[in-house]
Amino acid sequence: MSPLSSIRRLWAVAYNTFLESVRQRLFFGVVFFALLLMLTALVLKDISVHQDKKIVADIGLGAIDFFGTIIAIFLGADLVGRDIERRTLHLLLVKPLRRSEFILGRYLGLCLTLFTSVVLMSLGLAMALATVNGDFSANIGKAVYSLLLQLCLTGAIAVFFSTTSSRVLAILGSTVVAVLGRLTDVLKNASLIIEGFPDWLGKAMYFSLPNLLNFDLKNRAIYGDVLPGAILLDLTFYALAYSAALLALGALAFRRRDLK
Amino acid sequence: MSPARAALSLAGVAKTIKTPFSRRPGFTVGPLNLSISEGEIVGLIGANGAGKTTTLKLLLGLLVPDAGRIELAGVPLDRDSWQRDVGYLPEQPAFYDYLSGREFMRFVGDLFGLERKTLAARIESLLTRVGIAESAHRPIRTYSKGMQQRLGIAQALLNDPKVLLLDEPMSGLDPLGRLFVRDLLLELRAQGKSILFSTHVIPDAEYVCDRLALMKAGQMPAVGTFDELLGLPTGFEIAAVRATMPGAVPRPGEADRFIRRVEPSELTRAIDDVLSHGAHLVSVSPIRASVEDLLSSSNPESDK
Amino acid sequence: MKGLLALLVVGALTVPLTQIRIDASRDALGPEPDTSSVWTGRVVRALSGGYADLLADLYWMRAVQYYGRQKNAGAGFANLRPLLETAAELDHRFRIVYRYGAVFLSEPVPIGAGTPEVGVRFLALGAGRNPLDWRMRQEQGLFAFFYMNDPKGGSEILLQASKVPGAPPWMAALAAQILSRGGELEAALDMWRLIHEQSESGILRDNAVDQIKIVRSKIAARDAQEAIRRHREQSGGSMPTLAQYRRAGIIREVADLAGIEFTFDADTGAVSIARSSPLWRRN
Repeated sequence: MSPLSSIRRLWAVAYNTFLESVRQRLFFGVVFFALLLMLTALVLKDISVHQDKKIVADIGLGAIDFFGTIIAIFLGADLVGRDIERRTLHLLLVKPLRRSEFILGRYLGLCLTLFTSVVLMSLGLAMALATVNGDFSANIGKAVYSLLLQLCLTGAIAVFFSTTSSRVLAILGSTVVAVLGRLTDVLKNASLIIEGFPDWLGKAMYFSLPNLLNFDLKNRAIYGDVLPGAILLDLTFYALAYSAALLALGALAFRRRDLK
Repeated sequence: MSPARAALSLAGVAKTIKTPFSRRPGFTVGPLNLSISEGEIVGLIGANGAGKTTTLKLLLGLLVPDAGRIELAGVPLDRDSWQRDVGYLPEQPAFYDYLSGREFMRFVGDLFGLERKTLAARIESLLTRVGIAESAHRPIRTYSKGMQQRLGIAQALLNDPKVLLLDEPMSGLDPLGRLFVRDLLLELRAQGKSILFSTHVIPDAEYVCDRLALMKAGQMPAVGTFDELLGLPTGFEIAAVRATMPGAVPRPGEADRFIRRVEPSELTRAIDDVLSHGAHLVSVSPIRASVEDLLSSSNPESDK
Repeated sequence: MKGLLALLVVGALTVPLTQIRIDASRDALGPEPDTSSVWTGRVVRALSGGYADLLADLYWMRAVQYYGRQKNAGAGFANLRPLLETAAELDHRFRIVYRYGAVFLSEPVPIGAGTPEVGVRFLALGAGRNPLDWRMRQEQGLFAFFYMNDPKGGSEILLQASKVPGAPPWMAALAAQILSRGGELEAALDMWRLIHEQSESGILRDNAVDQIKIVRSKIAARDAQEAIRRHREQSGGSMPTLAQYRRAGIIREVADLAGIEFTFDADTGAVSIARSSPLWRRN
């Protein structure tokens, strides 16, 4: 099978996944809530004592982070399991579609969905900022890009769980890992916080869990720090590498999975 | 079995399916041995739960066998290229129901890497052939069960496969639909395709199959032609209308129809007899053990 | 169906009624102690999982609401400090928390918490966390001066602030001025001399020159006043003009560095720079 035909198959699955996702109520509901939250920011600013731009930006970026994570987990955790349950997968896997291509295609479709939701929410943020005479600066753009990387990594976590377990377990597993991924700074120093906690264990967890805090550039963006491209490049590599590893692991696990 | 390369073969294939965390022994299928030649239709017959679907899934790689070797179109199952030559219709096919029929066919065609123009033409021809061309623009979730079944058949044929594996292809179809499928299968056989289809409705199999493979409790106790499995008819039953048919008795409940049982050697003469008396021939049925009998017997015949 | 509706109605009615009962019984137990929970700023920050900025905003808004509510109720500000500290912990660079927070903390009761030392320390915390923010140090210096009446301390802090890159050139001047207004003239003179040395020629240098003259004149006026006071104590008498004191050898200077005679109050013995002098500054 030539690489070109592989790309065509990947695109077919990815695009199909994207269509499926954006036609779901979950997607629209979440994006709607995020935008609603940004509207709320415009109300809150009045009780914050001249902090309107900061608060609107904080809420906007926080909403993209939080609601994007919900989309990544709830859609991602379903991507493989649902096809197995509904047995749509049975039709597909007897075509010249490798199981690994199916998983990768599903994941790429999820990334496309996440990209779309982030763009929509960013537009909402830009409008909210404009209302308070702030602007969607290049720095905020970088923070949003970084969030997108984080969401794609979270999606990879969810897809991985989706290849190995049922929908409920996949959601649970993804949520737990995503939460732990945000507490990595605590884990790293766990030996200082918890008596008797072995330092090597804390460090091991720090390096093996997906460090989602890496991607949190919100504070820096809002305070106008310089965010050099090199940082974004590093973050991109990290997200790519970790996602690739997760997807590979999932594909390996999925290879021998019986489809009853 | 002809010495030519089999289109499909199972050799010693076995699989035990266990429910996780359960102490029950699980359902074992096999060891299975079966060969299908080109241009042959074989029916996989058995009651519900006999293991027909499991066998098909083993053939397609959806289940990984614990033992044995499977070849499709001459290629061992663990290579990548056999999918191009195989078409599969699962039992109660599930689609991405937010897509239209046409969109789904296009999606499948993309997976095969078919050239766009060829694909478009083939899609239209197949959709017309299975009779859903007019609904092809609507989302699949609006289709009836029969329409979905027809779409399933269409997608199985999209890559012009050499081997077709069909799981209950007549399911969900009305009598006209069943007739359509039967005719289609015969047409495909005439094109040299090999077909294995499973069913628990025996008359469907009897009409089109060259051979039968019986499945019972995960085993395949018998494979062969009707004659091989059931033996030659011990007699024939001739039914006719308005007889002054010598030796005939009225069929139970049907005053106008008469039946007559004759030895196989007397069949031709008996038919002439009936016709010469001005009766209309309704049917000539062989008298022999039925497949149902075979399936329910406690001593199944061994593979011939 | 009817049963379900009935259940729904009964449930819907029961909830608010029960809530009223709960509220009443809770009131009967007495007011809850106004305790800050165990969620110290550092714990909250550790658990914030990437939402620290948002939580900082929320804590800041809580602090503002709390301040307003307590002020109206005249109820004291026991929880103000933990709220502010948590907000600042969640976002070290949240300037307004330190700035306004310090005001809330330093203003005398009933306007604020009446704890200026806490306010100044809070600003010091902010300045420490934001070493490049000269404004924070400026606030800290001014607060030390205004709220704690510590011109020396305030002036030292302002001098530190003036050294932060990006600090405006007049910061050091401000430091010296505070010292001067606080009465420590020699130190102010030294500061102005330092500024004069470090400044390039131009407005700042000229200003430093003027300020040096002012401070020196103030020192002269102060010394003269002190000498006159000693003389009056010893002799029991007084003279009507500065010139007479000079002739008597009790004082040396009768005019400021601009050549304008000092203003002398013969009754009190006070000596100060004349209003008509170009060196006179409103205090």
